[in-house]
Amino acid sequence: MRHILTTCPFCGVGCNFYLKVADGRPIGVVPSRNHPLSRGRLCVKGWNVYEFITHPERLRTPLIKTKKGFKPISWNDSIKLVAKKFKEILKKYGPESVGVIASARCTNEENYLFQKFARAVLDTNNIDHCARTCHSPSVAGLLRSFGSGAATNSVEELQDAKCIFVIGSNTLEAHPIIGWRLRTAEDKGAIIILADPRGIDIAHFSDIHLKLLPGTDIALINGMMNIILEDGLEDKEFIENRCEGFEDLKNTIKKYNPEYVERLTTVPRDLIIKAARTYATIKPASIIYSLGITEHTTGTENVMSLANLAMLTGNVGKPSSGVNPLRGQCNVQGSCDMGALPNCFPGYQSVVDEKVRKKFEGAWGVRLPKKNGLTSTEIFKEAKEGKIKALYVIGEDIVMSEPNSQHVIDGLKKLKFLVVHDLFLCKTAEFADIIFSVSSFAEKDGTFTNADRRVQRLRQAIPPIKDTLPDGEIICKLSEAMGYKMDSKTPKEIMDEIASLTPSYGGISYERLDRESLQWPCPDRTHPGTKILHQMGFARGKGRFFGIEHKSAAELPDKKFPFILSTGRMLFHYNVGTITRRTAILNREFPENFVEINLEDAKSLDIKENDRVKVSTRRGKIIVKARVTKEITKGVLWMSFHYAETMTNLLTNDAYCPIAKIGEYKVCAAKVERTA
Amino acid sequence: MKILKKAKLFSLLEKASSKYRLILPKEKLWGDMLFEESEPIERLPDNYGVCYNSLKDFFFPQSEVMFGDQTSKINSKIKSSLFFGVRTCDVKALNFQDFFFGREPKDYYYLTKRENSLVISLACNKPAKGCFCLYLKNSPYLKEQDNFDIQFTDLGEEFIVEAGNKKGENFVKGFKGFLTESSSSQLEKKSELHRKCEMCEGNCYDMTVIGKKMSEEDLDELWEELGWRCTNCGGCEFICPTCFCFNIKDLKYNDTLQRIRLWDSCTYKGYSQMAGGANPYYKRSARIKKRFYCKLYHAVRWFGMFACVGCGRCTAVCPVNLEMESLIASLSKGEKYVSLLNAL
Repeated sequence: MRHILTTCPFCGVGCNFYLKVADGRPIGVVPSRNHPLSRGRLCVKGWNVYEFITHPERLRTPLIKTKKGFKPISWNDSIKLVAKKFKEILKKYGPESVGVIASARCTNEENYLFQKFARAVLDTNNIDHCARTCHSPSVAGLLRSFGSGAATNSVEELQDAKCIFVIGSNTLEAHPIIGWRLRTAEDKGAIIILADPRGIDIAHFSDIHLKLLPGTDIALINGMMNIILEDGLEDKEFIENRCEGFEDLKNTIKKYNPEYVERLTTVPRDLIIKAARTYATIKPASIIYSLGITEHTTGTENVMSLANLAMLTGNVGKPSSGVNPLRGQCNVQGSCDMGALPNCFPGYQSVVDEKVRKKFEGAWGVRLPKKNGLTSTEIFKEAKEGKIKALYVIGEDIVMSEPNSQHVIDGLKKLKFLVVHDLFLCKTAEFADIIFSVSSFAEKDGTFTNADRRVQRLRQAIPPIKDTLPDGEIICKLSEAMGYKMDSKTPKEIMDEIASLTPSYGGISYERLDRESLQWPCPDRTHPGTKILHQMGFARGKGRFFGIEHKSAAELPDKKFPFILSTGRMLFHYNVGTITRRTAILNREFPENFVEINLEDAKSLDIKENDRVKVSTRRGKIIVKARVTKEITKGVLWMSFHYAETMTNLLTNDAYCPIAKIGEYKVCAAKVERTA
Repeated sequence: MKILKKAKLFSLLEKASSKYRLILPKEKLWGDMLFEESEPIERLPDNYGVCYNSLKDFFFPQSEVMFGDQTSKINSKIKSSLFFGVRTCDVKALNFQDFFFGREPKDYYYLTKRENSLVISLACNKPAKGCFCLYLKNSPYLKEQDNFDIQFTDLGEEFIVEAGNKKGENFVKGFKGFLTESSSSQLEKKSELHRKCEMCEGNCYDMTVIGKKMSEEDLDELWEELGWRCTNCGGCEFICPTCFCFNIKDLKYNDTLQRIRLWDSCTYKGYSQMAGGANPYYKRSARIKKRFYCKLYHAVRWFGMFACVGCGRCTAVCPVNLEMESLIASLSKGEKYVSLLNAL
């Protein structure tokens, strides 16, 4: 038996474990006892991650769509065909008619290749990935407020915080090993403030639980700031020396008095006052948040409101403080860093900046597109309108993960050509013309960048399963077939190329990653990496306060659809479930979709536990089991989105945040009724 | 008893490697220690405590193809395994597993591998960080009445070599060229080391009191609270050297079926779910209660020993600080559960 240390391919915490390999087969995992993030721990998904790698349903050959369904096709023929098709479409409709959806589950090196492929080979900036639907508001919001769109502090520091404000994050389920730090902080005496409409596990050990109505985060945060100012608890020195725009904030939050905020959020005013005073006085205080903040039409403004709150109390740039988005996927931070985004090259270097573009043109030896590309939200819209003709989707099941699935399906059906990379025949792959069978995380080398900007190695434990290829290699082959040869091919060479072109990754190398835990910015080979951002000054100079008004969600409950439907992730499954639904132990825990409903609501509708109910919205309907609980706010329904048989995203609203273009997964109007 | 000069360790292991597959404590990245197949070594790492994986991994792996393997034929004559540098707690855990898998109906998968192995343990001269065998009044070295193959005791320049059963004696005979007879002063030194290590410096817990409490008192409030704490990762069962529960799954590859058994955990809801959906352990508190009764109460009645050897792995693995030692401490004090935070 061999043990290969690698990084977990699920959430953005970045735990490390050893894959146990016997006779060429991954047979289990053992966590790393001393790795700075794992410290010997894993969640239930990590412990069972080895199961899917050899699953019989893994795609084991490229497939081509024929009239009689999918048929195997050789690697050579499929690459040639895709190259030919893309060349034809580019010639006929121009580079604005194609798009690439990169993957937050692929490595940094692969994402670097994907964006290079889009820009240098397809001549388009139409490249995006699922950060759009999770933390694009964090990138946009924190960039505006602080000057850097990433988590301000390190995961290890959380356990030493004296106060932790958890908002829109079910940390114990979605980021369990950050949840451990939260638990540890509490065991060490920290005060935990939770803002969540559900009675999630954190509620059982939090000191204050603000059970707000989904979509009223800005009102709540403004209300807290109103009280802090009223009581004179703000950090005057910090505001004076380190920030700007304070007057703007002050004027805006004046009207958010406790009575008004209670009315908007339904949280009792005493609790809001208690939370505000606690957060402002017990230091260091850390904010952790996740998609409960971002997946709103006000997503970016929600994030900026949290930045306001942290700056107001001087909780930025210090150990165990800050504003910390918990990134959802193993490499969603890295995919953003690598420029799998329509507006920037690796390291957030703008594509419209001529100097930057010249640098990349020089390095890649090719002319590059000058305009910002389309976000994924816009790509799907334009596909439906017939403007996007060909789409290249790498390891994302957009049909299941995008809001208002039908809208995406309509777009895919209109495409002239669709290529999908995946491990399994997922919902999106069903619409593909060519499907490439790819290798899993266990079969390749590379790096992931986790939620606290830490670049970590993925190490090959077994060779690629027969007739699969790592996503990056496929892109290299395809580029070559289209007439552009990628210079760097091995992951190690690619990382060196990344380091040479990306200032924040300048000091990252495989040699160092075998010895050190490095967090960007790490500009050169002697730099130790950066644990805490904005320590001496903000990345943008001064921290910027923004006065932000509460705005209602795009769709509110009414007579016909009287409930608020909110969605999220749960502990035993991961995103679209292609992996966890195929993991025997995980699927056994929660084998089917359900809707959580408040006990009183259920009574009035004569719904009992495990009854089959129909949940419908203006966009669709599905039938699932009811889970009746006292722990959810009255008038709110909650569902997870892990089940391909009953796709929750058929229901969700694709109204989006105008700044970050993220869909409003967390609030839409819904109806629930018992099926006969 | 015999003596092995440390300078001869390498040549002994080298000779053994022609007959055995060597499995030794190995330092990996980040200073992690794991049992792993290895080439002969000159010396063991310093103060390595327990390896994070236990011997369970080798006899009862996390997943194992029972039949229908497409890639390799079942090889009935595999090379024997020689485990070296195993800690006392892991030998005791192995005894526990032997008892479980050796009962009727016997477990072919476990026993064939187990019978084909030899375990050389190394007594602890000093308890490692995080382990608590002493607090359970478990000894950090093996005594005559214990069942073991071979025990080494580190005297500094040499090891005392002690065979505990026939298998061990045969090994010693086969390698007598490397060994010398022990002197009385060396034996005296060994007893002294063992005595010193056995002295319990922390709080020793009276486990009979805990057993009595668990059988007589209503502790539901405690289980309720711990139920809210546990997040069902299954890590404590998976990492535990005595836990033996497994699940069986069948996979369909085109026209063939493959049967696999894999570690299971009693903290998972699905573990105790009936085919029709009913579940006597639906609540997390019920599952946590079941786990600790299995470890500290039922095991004593069924197998005559605790299903906890005090190795401390479950303390290090828990993502919610629900630790065996902290639980034992709170039970013995009759107080609310407080995490001792021993694994930070």
